[in-house]
Formats: sequence, structure tokens, C-alpha cells
Amino acid sequence: MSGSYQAEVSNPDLVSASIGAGAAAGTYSIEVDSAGAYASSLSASTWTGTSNDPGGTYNLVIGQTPYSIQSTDGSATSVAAAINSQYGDQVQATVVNVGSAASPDQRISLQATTLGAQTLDIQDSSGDSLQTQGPEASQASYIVDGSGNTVYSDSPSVTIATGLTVNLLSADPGNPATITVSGTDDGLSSALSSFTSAYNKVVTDLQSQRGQSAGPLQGKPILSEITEAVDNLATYFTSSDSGVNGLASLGLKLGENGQLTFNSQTLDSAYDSNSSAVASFLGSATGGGWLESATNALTDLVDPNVGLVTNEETSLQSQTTSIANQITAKNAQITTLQTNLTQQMAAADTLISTMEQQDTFLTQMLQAEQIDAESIINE
Amino acid sequence: MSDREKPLEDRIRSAVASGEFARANALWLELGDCLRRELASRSLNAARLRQTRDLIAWCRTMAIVDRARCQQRLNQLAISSRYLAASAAPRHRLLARF
Repeated sequence: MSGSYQAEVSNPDLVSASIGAGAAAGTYSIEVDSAGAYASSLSASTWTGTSNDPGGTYNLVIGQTPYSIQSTDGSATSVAAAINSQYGDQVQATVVNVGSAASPDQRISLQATTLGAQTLDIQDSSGDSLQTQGPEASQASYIVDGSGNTVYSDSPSVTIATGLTVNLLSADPGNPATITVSGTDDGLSSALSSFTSAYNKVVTDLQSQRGQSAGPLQGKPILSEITEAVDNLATYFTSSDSGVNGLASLGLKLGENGQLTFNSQTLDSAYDSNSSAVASFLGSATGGGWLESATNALTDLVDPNVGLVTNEETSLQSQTTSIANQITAKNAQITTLQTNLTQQMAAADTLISTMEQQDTFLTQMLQAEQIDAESIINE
Repeated sequence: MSDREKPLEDRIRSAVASGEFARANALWLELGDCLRRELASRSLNAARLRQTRDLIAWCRTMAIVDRARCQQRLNQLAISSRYLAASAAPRHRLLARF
């Protein structure tokens, strides 16, 4: 893991600096000979628009190159819009009122998007220039680290080293500004603080899965496997003699309750005394150190293909599906059984009714035939 | 001896014993016709009448018992259905964050 960096400028009136990817600690000097100027022009008189050109056709001239501009109605607003729409990457057109509100005087102002001298003009359909050129423009120029080699730039923003961008604000030939790039642990401190909160949350969640009234992971092997992985994160240790061997060196202390506490002052002290040792201990996701160990541990847990948690989730989903299928089958069996039993009960009811009818039938037949049942029985 | 060659009473007992009440019912209708003919011909004796009435009572008792068992089983199935419905209901999902 590379640390965060900050840039300090000796004379903020001359330059400002910003840090990007790949920056390295160091001291740089830059002498601004010229902050440069953008070419510009302004309409020589009030923009009259469409009086002799209803179609609004003009030529925009940048340097020596003419570009046809087709505005909607030839007004200052529409011509400026057409310029910005078609050539806005080279020149910016703005409509300005140099008169008063009561007596407006609309004109078009042009300004190049890059530093340096060039002609900026608008010509009508007759080829007549409508613009007055502005002050002399020039590229920015500067010298880095007293090399004596003047560098010219058409942008006020220049990169003088990997990850170090300087904005040229004002010229002061002979008096270079110094830019000091140094490491800072602000980003690291914030990251470790976030890690502490996340770690403690996981530990709390794991603890809630144990003991009485535990969660659904109680007794499952995955619980101890996650616990081991999390423990390894907090107890990672190297045998380096740099003085930064474990998280405790960075202010992360593991308490008896399994929770981490973070002391940013300890990190500041370690970073100030040996920032490279801190960076070495942390390493990167694939380049060794604690970060690689942590990355591997988490990959083992949550990798979409082989992660323990992923596998457990897949297993549980499979079990859930199997149980759901069993429930569906059992439901079907129950429905069938209920139908059969209902039919059986109906058949039983019919038979019971038949028996009662047969009993009555026997008695009625005996009476109809005027047979003395007793005599038959006694035969 | 095939089933159809056995006496109707035996076939009725066999049908009731195996829970085939619809078949038993049909056999009873057949037996009723036989009894009607025997009564008309005055060939129904007391022993036959006693046996028939015993068979009626036995069949009725068997049907009542079987019906009660069916009802009890239906009650059990109704409870099982409720348990299955509860098992299939969606549950809260455990979410773990790392």
C-alpha cells in the first residue's frame, strides 16, 4: 500500500500543486517565467446581426484557419452559441453588454482555450473582420529544478513529475517556488478507523451466534472458520526488524473482549518515524504484507466460487430447495389422502344407510307376506 | 373356489373386512333380492334370518368404525397441513456483513 501524499508550496501566489496517482515524496522547485495569456478578441462595434445577412452566416477565424459558422438568426446570442457548439474546444464565445441596461451594446467576446498567440476573428459574409484583437497572448514558460531549460506550455496546468500537477498562477522570473511533497497518514488513519469499526461489528455478530439464544449459525463449522479468519486479521505478525511488526504498531490494539481499538496518535508516530516500514508492513492486495493476507482471508470466505460463506449459502439454499420440494410432495400426498378418506367415509355412510334399509326391508317384507316371523324363527 | 362362487354373505364379509364398502353395498343389493325371493317362496328359515340380521349388524358396525377412523385421520391431516404451510412460509434471512 502506498501512503497518501500532500504538497506544500513555498509561494502560493506563484503556483499551486495537486497530488495524483504515482506521486512520490520529494522537493521540487519551479521558476515561472510567464504564466501565459489566452488570445482574445471583442466585437469592434455593437453586434448588428441580421441586417444584411438574414441567414446568419459568418466565418470564425482561428489563427489562419477560417471556419464557417451557421447561426440560427445572426444575432450575437445565436452566433456565440454556434461557435461554442461547433468549435468550443478551441475557442469560447461569450455575449457581453458593454453598454448600459438602458442602452445596451451587445458584443461577442472570443477567448482561446489554450495559452499562446493566435488570431481570433469573426468575419461577415463579405469577409470583413468584425473583431478587435485583444492583448498579446503567450504560452506559459517555466523552469523546473533550476535546470536552465525553459519549458513552454499552452496550458497553465503542467505536470512536472509523476503524480505532481502544478498550476502556474503568476510569473516571478528568478524566484522559483519550492514544492515539498511529503507523505501523510490521513488516508491510512481513516481507513484503519473504518476497519476497526467493521472488524468489531463482525466480532459482535459472530458472538451473537454463540451461547443461549444464539443465531442460526450456532454450532455450524462455518462459524469457527469465520472466527479464525477474523482472528488472523487482527493477530497478523511479521518478523521484520523495522519496528512495525503487527497492527499494534499502527495503533490497533486487540482487547480481551476481542474488540479492536484504534489510536491514531500511535499511527502518526509510526508513520513519522518510519513511513516506509508502515507501507512495507501493509503491503498490497497482491504484493504481500498484511493487506495481501487480509485479502486472501476474505477471498477464502466470500469468493463467489470457492468461498466458505458462499459455499455455506449455496448449501443452505440447496437444503431449502430440497425441503420446499419435500413439502410440495407431502402436500400432494395429503391432498390425495384426504380425497381418498373422504370417499371412503362416503362409502361407509352409504353402507350404513344400506344396512339400515336392509334391516327395514326385511321387516317390511315379512309383514307384507304376512309371514309370522316368530313362526319362521321357531320352525 | 373363485370369489364369485362363494356365498354372498362370505363375499360381503370379505368386502367389508377389506374396506371395500362400495362393493359390499352392491353385494348387499344382490343379497336383498335373494332374500326377497326366499321370502316369497317361504324358504327363509329362522337361522337364515338370524344370520342375515347378524350380518347387517356386523357390516353396520364395521362401517361406523371405519368411518370414525377416516374422520380421525382427516383431522390429523388437517393439522399436518397447517405445519407444512408454516414450514413453507418465508423466513427472515440472516445477513452477515464483512
